[in-house]
Amino acid sequence: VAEAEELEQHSFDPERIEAARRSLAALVARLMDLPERTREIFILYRIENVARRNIAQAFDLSLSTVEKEIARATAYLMIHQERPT
Amino acid sequence: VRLPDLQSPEFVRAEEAARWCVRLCEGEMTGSDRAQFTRWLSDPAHRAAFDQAAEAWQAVNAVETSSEILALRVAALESLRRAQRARVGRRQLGARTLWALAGSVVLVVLFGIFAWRSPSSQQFTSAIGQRRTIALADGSSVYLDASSAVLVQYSAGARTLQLLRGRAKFQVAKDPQRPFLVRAADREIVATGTMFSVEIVQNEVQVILYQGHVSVTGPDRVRTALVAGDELIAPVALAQVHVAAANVARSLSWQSDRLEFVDEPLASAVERVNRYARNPVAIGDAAAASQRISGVFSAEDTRAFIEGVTAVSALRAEERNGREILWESGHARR
Repeated sequence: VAEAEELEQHSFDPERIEAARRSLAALVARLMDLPERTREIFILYRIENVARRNIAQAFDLSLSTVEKEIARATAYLMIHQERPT
Repeated sequence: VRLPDLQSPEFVRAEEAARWCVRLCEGEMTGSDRAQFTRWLSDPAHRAAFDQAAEAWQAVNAVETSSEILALRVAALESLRRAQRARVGRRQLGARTLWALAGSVVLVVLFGIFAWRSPSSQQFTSAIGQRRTIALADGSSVYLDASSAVLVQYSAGARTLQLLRGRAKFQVAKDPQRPFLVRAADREIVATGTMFSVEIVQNEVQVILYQGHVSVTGPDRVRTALVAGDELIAPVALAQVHVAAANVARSLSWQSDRLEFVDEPLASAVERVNRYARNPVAIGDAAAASQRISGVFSAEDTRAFIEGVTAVSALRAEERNGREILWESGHARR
């Protein structure tokens, strides 16, 4: 725990930057694994803040289908999340 | 990389946790939903899954402006725009007659690239007699009255709009991270999640708040906070503001092709009528401009407006070079 705090204070530590770069690459790779429509819905909802209703209307889907796609993408990212050791 | 087993208990639990995240984010939970959520969360495995879901979401937000993610965002926004266009096309085919009747109500979809360094900027204008609904990428909408113009600039940190002329109603999607700011003449209206309209008429800025909260800042930087149902009238270039209770139903009549005036100076009534008039109505003299008129008129029928106001007030109309001019009755005919 003490070591973790130490690291927190040195946010410009090259190792930390390298770790951040690796986890970004891993996240992008995991997003790319998803089916295109699932990935798009997740990004629109989570990053672009497009309302679920608007996504559903545009893609001609039900509200619950959109929710299912968001949940599926999130679950996939969760299960493949890098675990701190 | 293989996709995980979608039927595995771990995956199903993760999906469940994500669904709770969606519901919590949207704030649409009832009392019994909350009780259900508390029960669900009391299982340690569920609790862990929920924390993991929140962590996964934050991981995405932490890198949302990185170039790799931006490329995916642009692709997603383009795909949404294509889908919305196709949808408008389908609707037009299905109900062509209805659309013809609806006349010039047009759905426009805006998607800028919400890149961090380069805020996109796009101007929307409506022609005479045309009203437009503009769906913005964040879920907000702009309803543009006829003969109006609005400039939209979105960036990662702010949503800035400028009403250039006319009137617009704004339905704002909640986003505490990105305030929604509307400029009109020398006033600034700031909102988070709400519905309000802004109009520039006769050198005045008029703001009506339908829901939520907004604050209006004047040229002297003094802020006036409004509550739902308030109408603020601010003369351009003057610090003073006037706040009164709005007639909400009347103020929305323009969206249903009606123009309603109650004790309204002719000058501002004519300015509103002219937003719809192919042949704009002119006012002949100052005495006519200050005449006060009342009535409900069809926005599409300028002729009926002229007949209506001349029938009941001290005004007379005169046609000159195909243009109707309203004079005060006492004004000598030339």
